[in-house]
Amino acid sequence: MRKALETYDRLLDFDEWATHDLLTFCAPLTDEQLDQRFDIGHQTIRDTWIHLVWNIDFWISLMTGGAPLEEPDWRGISIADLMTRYNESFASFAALTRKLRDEHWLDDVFIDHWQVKKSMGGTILQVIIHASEHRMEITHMLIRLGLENVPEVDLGARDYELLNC
Amino acid sequence: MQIEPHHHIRNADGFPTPYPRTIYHSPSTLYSPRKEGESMDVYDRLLQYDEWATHELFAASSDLLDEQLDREFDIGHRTVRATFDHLITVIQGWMIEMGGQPGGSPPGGDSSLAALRVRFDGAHEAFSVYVRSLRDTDRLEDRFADDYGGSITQIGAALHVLLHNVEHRSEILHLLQRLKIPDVPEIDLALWEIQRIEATETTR
Repeated sequence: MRKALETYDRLLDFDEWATHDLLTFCAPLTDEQLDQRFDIGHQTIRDTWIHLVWNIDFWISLMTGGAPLEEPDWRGISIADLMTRYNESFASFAALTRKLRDEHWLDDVFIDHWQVKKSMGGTILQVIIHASEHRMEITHMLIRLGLENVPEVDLGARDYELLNC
Repeated sequence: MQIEPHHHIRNADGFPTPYPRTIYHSPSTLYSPRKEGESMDVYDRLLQYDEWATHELFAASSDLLDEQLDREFDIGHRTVRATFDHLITVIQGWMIEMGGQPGGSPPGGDSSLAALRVRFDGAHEAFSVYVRSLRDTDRLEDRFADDYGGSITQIGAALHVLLHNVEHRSEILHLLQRLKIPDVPEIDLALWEIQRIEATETTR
C-alpha cells in the first residue's frame, strides 16, 4: 500500500510528474512547431517552457537571499536540454521546499524584487501554481497544433495512477 | 528604484514583454522571523487564494455583455460563461464523490454572471469547510472509489479541484484578453499574498 504523502510532497510529486509528462510529449516537435506563435501567454511552446523553468530558479534565488535572476537567453534550446535544466532546478526547489517545511520556515517572510514581503510557503505554492498555469497554455498550443493524444496532466490523474496502476 | 514585475510588463496586445535587461538588485533580501498569529496552513492558503482569484475574475467579467460571455473561442469550454459554469460544477461534483454535500445551487439553473458568482460562493464555502474538516480530523488520506471503480484519496481529490480551478482560471484570463477587455487582472498567488500580509500588518 502506498505510504501517505505529505501535502508538499504530493504537490511536488505532481508538479514534477506533470512537467515531465508534457515535456516528454513535446520532445518530437519540430523547431517550427516549438516556435509557432499563438495568441496566448508567452506565445510559443519553447518560450513558455523557458519561462516556466527559469521561474523556478528565479524564486529559489530570492528565497535564499540572492538577487533576482535575469531571464536567460536560451533561444533555440532543445527540449532535451530544457529537461536537463528543469531537473536540476526542480531538484533544488524540492529540496528547499522540504527544508523549509521540516525546519518550520514556511511562514517566514522575505523581501522580494518588488520590495514587498512574501512568505516562503506562499512562494512555494506560487511556483507550483505558476507551472500549472503555463502547462495549461502549452496544452492549448499543442491542441491548436492539431496533435493527438495530448496528455491530461491533472493531479487527479496522477493520484489515480499512483493508487491503481 | 522599483521595477515593474515581469508579469505586469505587457505590450499593446497584452502579451508579456521580455524581462528588462537592467535589473535592480536590492541591497539585501531580508528574512524576518514569523510573527505570532501569522501561521497559515497550506490548505488555508490554497482555499483562500482560490476564492480570491475566482472572485477577481468574476469582478473583471461583470461588465461583459451576454454576447461576450457566450462568444466562442478555441480553448477549453470555449466561452467565459461555460468555463465559469464548468469550474463550479466540478467543485460540486467532486464534493459528492468525496462524500460531502455540495453547496450552491445545482447546475442547469440561472446562468447569469451574478447567479454564477452566488453559486460559486456556495460551492466554495461547502468545499472549504469539508476540506478543513478532513484536515482537522486526520482524514485527508482516506480513500474512496471514483466513477471508474478506482481508488482516490480525499487529499488527491481536493488538490485536484484546486488545481483544476487554476487551469480554468487561466483559460478565462486568456478569453478576457482575446475579448480585449481593459485591465485584465493578474491573479498570481504572489499578489494575493502581498495583500494578505499587508492586511495582517494593517490590523496590528
